Parts: sequence; structure tokens; C-alpha cells
Amino acid sequence: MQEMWDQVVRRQVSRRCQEDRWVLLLAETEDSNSRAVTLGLLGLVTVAPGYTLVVCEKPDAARRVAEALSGGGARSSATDGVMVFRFTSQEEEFVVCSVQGHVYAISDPFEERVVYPVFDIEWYPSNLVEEKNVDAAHRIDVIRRLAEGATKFVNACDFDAEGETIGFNVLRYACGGEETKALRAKFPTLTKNDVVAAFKQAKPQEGQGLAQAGRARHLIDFIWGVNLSRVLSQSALNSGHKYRTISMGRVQGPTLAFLVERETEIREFVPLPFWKVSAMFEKDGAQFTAEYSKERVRSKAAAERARDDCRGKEGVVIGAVKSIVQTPPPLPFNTGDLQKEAYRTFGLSPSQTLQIAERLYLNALISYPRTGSQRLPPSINYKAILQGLERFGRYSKVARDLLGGTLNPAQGAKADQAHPAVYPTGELPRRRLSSLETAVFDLVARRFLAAFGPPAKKELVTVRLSVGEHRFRLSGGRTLYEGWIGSYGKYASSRDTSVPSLVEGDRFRVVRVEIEEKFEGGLLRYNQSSLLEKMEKENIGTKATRADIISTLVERGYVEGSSMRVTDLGLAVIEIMEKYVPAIVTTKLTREIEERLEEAEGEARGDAELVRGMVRAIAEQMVGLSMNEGMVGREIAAALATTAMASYVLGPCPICKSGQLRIIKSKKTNKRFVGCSNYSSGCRASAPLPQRGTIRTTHKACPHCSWPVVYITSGRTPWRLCVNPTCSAKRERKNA
Amino acid sequence: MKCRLCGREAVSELCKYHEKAKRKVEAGYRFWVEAYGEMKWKDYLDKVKHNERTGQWAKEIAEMLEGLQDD
Repeated sequence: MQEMWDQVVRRQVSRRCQEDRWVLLLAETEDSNSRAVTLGLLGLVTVAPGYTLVVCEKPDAARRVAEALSGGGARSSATDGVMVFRFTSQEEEFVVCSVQGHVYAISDPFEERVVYPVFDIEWYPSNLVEEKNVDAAHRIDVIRRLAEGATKFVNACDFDAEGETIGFNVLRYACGGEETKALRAKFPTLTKNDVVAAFKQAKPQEGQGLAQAGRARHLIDFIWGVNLSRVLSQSALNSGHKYRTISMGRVQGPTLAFLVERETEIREFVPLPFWKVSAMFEKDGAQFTAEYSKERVRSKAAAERARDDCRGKEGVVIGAVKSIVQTPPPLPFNTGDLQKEAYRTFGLSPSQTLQIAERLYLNALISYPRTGSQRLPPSINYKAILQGLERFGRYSKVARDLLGGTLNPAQGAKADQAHPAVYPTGELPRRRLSSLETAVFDLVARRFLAAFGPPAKKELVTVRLSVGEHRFRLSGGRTLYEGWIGSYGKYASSRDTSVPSLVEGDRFRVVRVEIEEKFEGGLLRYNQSSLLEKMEKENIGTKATRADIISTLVERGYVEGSSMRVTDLGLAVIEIMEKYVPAIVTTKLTREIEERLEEAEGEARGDAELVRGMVRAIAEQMVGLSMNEGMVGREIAAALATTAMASYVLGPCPICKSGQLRIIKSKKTNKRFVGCSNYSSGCRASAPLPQRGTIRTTHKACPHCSWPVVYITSGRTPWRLCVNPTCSAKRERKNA
Repeated sequence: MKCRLCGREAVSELCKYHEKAKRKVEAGYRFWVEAYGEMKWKDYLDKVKHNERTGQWAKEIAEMLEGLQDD
């Protein structure tokens, strides 16, 4: 078996590395009249061959670049959905176009998704890979024709691995192998100054390390994902379940494994009891409450003894310590920090934040948001940015104050060769921003301002009291100097807790002692923000891909809800992986690949060597999975069935106490309602349900009536509903 | 063999998840007895079953063990 796999891998990979065959294919199908047609449509017939073709990643970027270089005099025209700008600058003719993301994608020559293993893969025009990318054909066609009249090429795509890959592929395949000769324009923002400076300094890329690493990442991830996903999906299909995509990616596997590990701990959890003791003290009418020095008293008897011993006694202050702590300003945002902060402050998912930040970048309001850096180099021109922000009413005072002093922003340890941390450009928006765009922009701007602020100072007070042998503690703090907190505004979480002025020897009467039974809460489930943090910590995925990987886990049905509860399907997939191909879901293998890809970014070697090594690794892993296809299929099919069942079981029936309340669809009216599984045994528990929106169980019972509570998603914000129409809480709300 | 609680593949009568949850429920009893001074096994199971912080599999185990006790 192993030999067979080795042969397949050797044969297919060597073919892959020999040539880019489809380039030849394209050349053969070239329509000789096409260039004239396109140029005519674009109004470029007057442009003599010999212009510079600038390739941008997105239409808004192309517009910004054209405006910046032409000084606003660029003429635009569109054909086949591609916007093209042309202008003359310093006697040089320019044509600027955009590709709108990836127009080339990796695929295999097999049209059927049942085929695996697959190692014979190539870059193809995206429209041949995914039907929804039909526009890619038009865009490639237009660029190819434009390339014919160009004598100079500039790659002005985003400067990161993805942008490099997009630009490299377009220049190689659509422009006839210009990827090494083309100049590279790198700009951190789309402001006029940065774009003009980038074009002045543009030069051919040496080594193409970023592009090669980016291409290698696509190849490896495709080989990994397509093979594992096809084995899993096909196994389930062969076991009698209808077709469903069961995906497993290089980063997706370990990420799901984190969630499963946490989920199993939560589901196995048995809480342990403890007691919290607190005492209220009083003197001359002034009262305060102090906590027992042991935060968790492990036995009820000990807690009751403390209460009985202290009741009616006198407490004495045995120590009062004051200390001043400085809180340094927050670090400038890298992508992950921005995503986490936007989740904390606005509840935005990481992918939503990235999309919004991308739009702000394309409007030249913030710098490139896909960055690992927490550093703001002086070259971004702090002063000019602050002067720009001074024109915004809400930032003007802070910006003015900062401009009056020395500008030294807080700098983090993480750096990025390609981009600095995310910062506002200081430009005013040219269009009305949406509320979410305004929110994210405000967060970026305030973080930037806060990074320049002085440390905040807080006085912390801890008072220790003694009541016989028992010790109590009282602590609090107050802000002495706001520093950067004022600049960060509502996003800073700093709360003052006042503590009465107490000195050693002060005596107080114990007014009341309370004990409270509590239970340890156990671990919390990951949310999208904490999961992102875990991925960063484990160094899996990239700043550009982590958010999408998290979204995919939800789309595939492996997790559900904002608390990312793992479904039976998610559990089964990881269980199968751990049983048959354990290396796939460990962070070790995927982290090694990540590190090698990062190394490759700075090197000049091609992607073949890297890909070959990874193909071998995945081939070795797949042997175990393929040999147990029958068993794998049965396990997945069973998990799919229980996951589907779980989606319409809402919880235990509070009427008969033994049945389960379920979502049922009436055959007569086609409407959905809640009914009990014990209907045939006589339980008549039932309730109407909203007919619109998605209904999802919360796994929780209403505290008032014990009927299940569900989430209804209809419109943008999900809402909770107790399904019991006669719930006492509903009646009370109605009466109120 | 199938797990009597969830139908997953089982080593004896329980799957690996419920088996582990069972060990945790059993181990927790000693702590609860120490915490409350005195507690019957049946009362413990009832409290664990109804505690909102108890995990789903641990609840199912507590219910199963409670049923065994009744039998």
C-alpha cells in the first residue's frame, strides 16, 4: 500500500514541477482579433503600444492608484466588468487595472469529487474551478489583451503573501511571463503620498520569496484539504448517508481539535461546592463590606464556624497598604489584536472585522489591515497623521495635545517585514461610513492616539482586618492620572473602586456575616475571539486565514452558536482523525509547515521542494484513513444522524418529565411547532413556534417554567424565546 | 458494543466520553461529602444532576447511576 502511494506521489509531483501546462493551453487558444476588440471597447485605440500596465488587486485600489499618480486626471472605462484607468504622467502612458482577488485557483484535472488521492494539481483560471467565479474569465481576458500593448509592468497588489500570489499569477499567466521583470510597488496605505512614493521606489522583486511561499501555501492546503475531505465525504456517502461535504484542512483540523478538547472537558465537568464568606463592618454610621481572606472555603462547616465566630464581634485593621501602579499604553494593533478588540467592544466576528477594515483601507482611511506587526515606525510620519486626525472633531483635542509633545508610540514585540501596525491615515472619509465602519475606524484611530499617551497611574489600596482568628480583606483602587486612558475613551476598561480611609488599629463592629454557597464553574467554551487568540498562540494559520477557518467550522456544522459548542459531527470528525491519522490534528505538523513557509518567504527558492515534502507527509497520513474507509464512513454517518437529530430536539418535556420536546412540522399545515416525543403515550405538551427564521436550541431550560429556551435567528440579531406560550415570565412582562 | 447512553462505540457499556465522565462523577462524591460533612450517594447524584454547571455527559451519568440505585 505504502509503495503504491509513493509511486503516485512521485509521478504526480514530478509532473507538477515540470511545467505550468495550462499556460501553453491558453497560448494555443489565443484569439488574434481579441486585442483590437478590447482596446476598442476601452477607448485605448489612441494609446500607442508602449504603456505601463499597473495591476492592482481590487477596483478601489486601482482607482486610488490612478488618482494618486495622475493627480486626479485619469480617464476610466469599463468592459466585461473590468474598470480600467488610463492617464499620462511625466510623458509616460499608464493603464491601471484590477483583478478583484484571485483569478487563478488550484484544482485537479478530475471533474468528479469522488476521486482521491489527488496530487496532480495545477493553477487554473478561477472560472474553470468554481462556477461562481465566471467573471474571472472576463478579467483574465481583458488583462491579457492589455498586456500585449504594454512594455512595462507594475505589480501593485497588496504587499503580503496573498497579494504577491495574485500579482505573480496574473503577471505569469495573463501577461506572458512578466513576473520577474515587473516592478513591485509597495505601499502601506492608499494615500496619495504613499502611492506616489511607492511608484518612485518600485523595482523588480528579488527572489519572489513571498509569492513562492504564498503559492506553496495554496498548493499544500489544496492537497491537504481535497484529499482528506474527499475521503471523509466519500466514506460517509458509501455508508448510505446522502452526500455532504465533510471538510478537513491543514489548519482546520488542529483548530477543531482545540474546540473538541475544551468541549469534552466541559461536558465531563462535575462542579465542586465552596462557600464565600463576607462581613459588613460599621463605625459611626459608616459601613463597608470585606471579603474573607480565603476566597473559597471548601467546607460548609468551616464557613459556618467563621460566621458564628465573627457574629457580633469587633474587627480591627491590622494592615493598610497603598501602592501606585502604572499601566502602560496599549500596543498598536496587528490584525489579531484588532479582531479581538472589535469582538470585545462591538461583538464583531474576526471575519467581519477584517472585511470592514479592508473597506476602510480601500477608502484610504487606515493602513493595510493584514499585518502581524505591533510597531509603528517613524517613517509613517506620526506628525502628519496626527495633524490629519486633528481635523476630525472628536479627535482634535487629543491630537493637538499630542502634537505639543514628543511623539514616541508604544511598540510591541511582534514585527512584520511587509507592513507596520494598523494605523489611521489621517484622511477624511469621502463617503458616509456605515455604523460598523465608523465603529472600527474609531477603534483604530483611538488605539493609535492611545499608543502615544503617557502611562496611566492608579493607586491600589489593600486593607486587612482581623476578627479574632479570622482574616478579612478589602481592596480597591482609584485613578490618579488618566494618561492614555483618556485617548482610548470608552474602549479602556478601568474602573475605580472606592475604599474607605482606614488606618492600622481602627476598630469596627461586625454588623453582619454572610455565607454563600457557590460552585466552581469549570472552563468556558471558546468564542471566536479566544479561539483566534489560541490559534495565534499555537502559531497555526495566518493573520489572513484564521478568521475564515473559524467561519468554515461553523458553516460545516462542526460547531454551533456564539459559544462555539461542538456538535456530535465535530466530535466524530476529530475522533476519527485521532484514531486513524493522529498527526493531522496535532499542532506539530501544521506548525512545522507554517514555519517552513515563513522561512520560504525570505528565500528565493521555488515552491516545488516545499510542496514535495508536504505531499509526502500527507500521503503517509492518508494511508491509514483509506485503509479504514468503511469504518470511517459508518462513524461519520452515525454522527451526522445524531447531529441532525440534536438540531430538532429542544430539551426534556416539563409535563411528562420523561419525553423530549422536539420541533415537528405538521404534514397538514406545513407549519412547525413544538411537540413531545411521548405523544403516542399520551403527553399532549405542545407549543407554537415562529414560522420564520432559524431555530436553534440553547440547551437551557427557562428558569420560570422549565420549558426549553431557543434562539431564533431572523434578521440580524438572534433573540431568545421560551417556547412555553403560558410562561409566567411572559405573563408578568405583558401585565407590566 | 454501543454506549448505553449515546450509542457511540463503547469499550464495555459506556463510550470513552461517558466512561471518563463516570470516573469524574464518582471522584467528585468524596469532595462533596467533605464539603457538606455528610451526604448520601443518591442525594449527591440528584444535586449533580440538577446543578446548572454540571456538564452534559456528567449529568447523563448521574441520571444513569441514580436509576441503577432505584433498581
